[in-house]
Amino acid sequence: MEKDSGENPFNRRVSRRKAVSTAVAAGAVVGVGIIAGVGGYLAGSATGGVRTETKTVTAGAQTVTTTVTAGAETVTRTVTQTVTGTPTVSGPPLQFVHWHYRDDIVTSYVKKFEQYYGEKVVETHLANENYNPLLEAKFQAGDVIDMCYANFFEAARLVQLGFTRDVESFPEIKQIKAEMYPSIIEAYSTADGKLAGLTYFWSARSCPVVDDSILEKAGMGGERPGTWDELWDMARDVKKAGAAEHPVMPHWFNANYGITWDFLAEMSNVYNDPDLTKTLFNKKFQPVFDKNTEVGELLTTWQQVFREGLVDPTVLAQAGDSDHVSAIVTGKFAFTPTALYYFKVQNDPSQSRIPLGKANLVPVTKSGWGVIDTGLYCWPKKTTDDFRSQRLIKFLGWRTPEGERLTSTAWAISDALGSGYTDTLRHPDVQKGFRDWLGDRAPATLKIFDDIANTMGRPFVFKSPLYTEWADISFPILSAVTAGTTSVADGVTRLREESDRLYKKFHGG
Amino acid sequence: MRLSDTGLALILLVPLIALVFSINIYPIAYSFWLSLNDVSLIRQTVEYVGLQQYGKALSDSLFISSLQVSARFVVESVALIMLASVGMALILNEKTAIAPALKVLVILPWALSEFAVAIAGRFFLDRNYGFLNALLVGLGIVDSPLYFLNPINAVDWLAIFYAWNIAPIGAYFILSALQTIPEDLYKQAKTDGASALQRFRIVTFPFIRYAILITAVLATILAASSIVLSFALTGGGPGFASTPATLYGFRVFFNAQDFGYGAAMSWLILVMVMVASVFYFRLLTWRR
Repeated sequence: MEKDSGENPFNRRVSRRKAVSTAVAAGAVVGVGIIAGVGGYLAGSATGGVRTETKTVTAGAQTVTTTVTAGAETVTRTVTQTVTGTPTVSGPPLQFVHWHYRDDIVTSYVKKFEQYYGEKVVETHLANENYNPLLEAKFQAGDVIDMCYANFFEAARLVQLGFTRDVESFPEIKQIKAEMYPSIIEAYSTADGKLAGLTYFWSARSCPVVDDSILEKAGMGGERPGTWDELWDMARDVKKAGAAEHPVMPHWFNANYGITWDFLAEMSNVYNDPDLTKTLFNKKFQPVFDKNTEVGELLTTWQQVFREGLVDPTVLAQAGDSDHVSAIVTGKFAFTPTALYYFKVQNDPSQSRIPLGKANLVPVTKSGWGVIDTGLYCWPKKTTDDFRSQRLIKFLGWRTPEGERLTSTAWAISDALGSGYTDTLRHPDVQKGFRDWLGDRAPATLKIFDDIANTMGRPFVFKSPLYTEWADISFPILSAVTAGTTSVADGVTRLREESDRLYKKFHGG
Repeated sequence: MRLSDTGLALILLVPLIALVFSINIYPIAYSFWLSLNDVSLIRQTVEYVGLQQYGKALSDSLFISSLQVSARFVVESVALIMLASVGMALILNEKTAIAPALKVLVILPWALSEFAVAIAGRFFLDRNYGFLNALLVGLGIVDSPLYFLNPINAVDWLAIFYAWNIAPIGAYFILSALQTIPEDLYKQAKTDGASALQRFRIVTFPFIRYAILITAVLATILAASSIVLSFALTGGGPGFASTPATLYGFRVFFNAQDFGYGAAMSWLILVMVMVASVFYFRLLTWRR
């Protein structure tokens, strides 16, 4: 198995484009040998000393000689290879485990990777609803996995469990981080500051979208709330004007990524506590709330707005995203705090009954909006081949060797998914893609995306393994308090007891 | 060497015993072992705690609440399944021109997965885009859409949709029993002046009694172990209002990965279902 280690000047010196064009001219495609050579070289350098290797794949003669200088040493490696078609990498196929989301697009990226490197990748899809436990079960069973998706909180947990590792050892890590939003680096780093994987996407949940057609009916056209309190006040006015029976469809559906994430979003936004270490769990993951603190205050507000009929009560019996999205596209609500990537759905006349051009994101003015929604490409410890798996992760999670941000731009265009890299939203193709469905609202919307990336909640507790259990315990409690079937005091007390128990369980407090 | 009949039988049974052991006995025994331990994946530890997990479950207000939801769901859905099964079976047993087509139509809901039933339920009941509300508002029966899946009624709706899904199989069990009843008995009862209700009680019921009891046992076990419908239709909500014990246990076991506690809950649910089943079988053999 080839191993990668240390800084890798090879990637800069070996021009992939040059190699391919040479191969095309010769009627063959060359590349695999070069890349394998990089791995071989690095494996050699990792074990110390200078090594020269000559590898002949087939007779027929195409010779690529590459000289590499690593540190003070110069290594010459010669690869002779003739391939009559797509180059192939010997060895077992790479294993890529992911959840279902636009599988067609994912597979198209994988195919590009396969063609580029002559690789073979086996995709394994796990059910979205139980992705994390199923993934952990695969790791526990000792499966070889070369790359897997994970939400950040799961990624941090996988690192702690020893199933995956951080990506700080990637040779290009400094460059990768330099291209990312600082807020995303912070959000995707483990408690000890190591990047847990490369970015698949970021988005934000509970970002308010306003339906201007309803605001216009209420005589409030163009008005925007700057804070959650202002949003509730505007909702009261909309209801009073009779423009909507229940002006708000909040992100309160009954799932661990529903009402719980909205709770984290609002706690973060309302109390200007982006990582929630002042109001929920501190940096040692100790709970710092009780019924008399901000948590109690926020839930009292929720009970109040629920009682006033400002929110559609059916949200509490929605089982997940699909129920929620089906509701927010009915065009019955003035405000629909939701996931950023559903903003495109709301603006698609084939999927939404909101009048075209009337669904608009609320800009960031007085407070941040939403809480981060995460997706990472993670690097398992037990891989088919570290070098090849790293290559796959970088191809999808960073750039192709030719510098193309293949996946992040495509996701931004097709699904309005944010990328961890700041240049994605500035890419001409992405800007054109946004203009295609937003028209002249695109520049303002892209700015809001950027502002949200910088100000959204990024709970520090995501870095603790206690989070996944806490999220499961918290959502029925939050939902019951909101519905008024449990008092705020009882609900918060229960939440605190569970938080203390989990802190003790995972951090030995 | 010639094997005795018993020896041969034992040898032939070995594969089956091995199969049953590996896919049945071992997992059950393993889950019981889990329930006696506190297993932490993070700390990579297994600590023997005896019956503590059971004590914890019985003092966990959420588990108790979920048991109450389960009990209500089972009682309501079994009652509905029994009524619908008997009713459908009696209709299907009539010799009419449309009976063959009805037999096909009646079985269709049973062919759906619980998940599909949940989706159908959502599109039927939702306040914003549901068929039922559209119908009620469209006919002028109500002024504004109703909030069906509220904290008080969410379980009732789960029971209704579960009964819709399961009743067809009960109807077929009962129909098969109905078709064994000699026509002459009905003629004689009619001749003796028995009313329709009396004919059902005196002639029909004795023949279908065991089919009804078997359907009841089956419906109880299925309803008590149902998880997908609540998971996909209400998410267990609003709040905890429609979270049955199975869903709560599933979340504790798989999502929270508290394996010992989740296993203890499963065993408590199993014991309760077994008690209910024994009760039914006692009932089944009572008149013998």
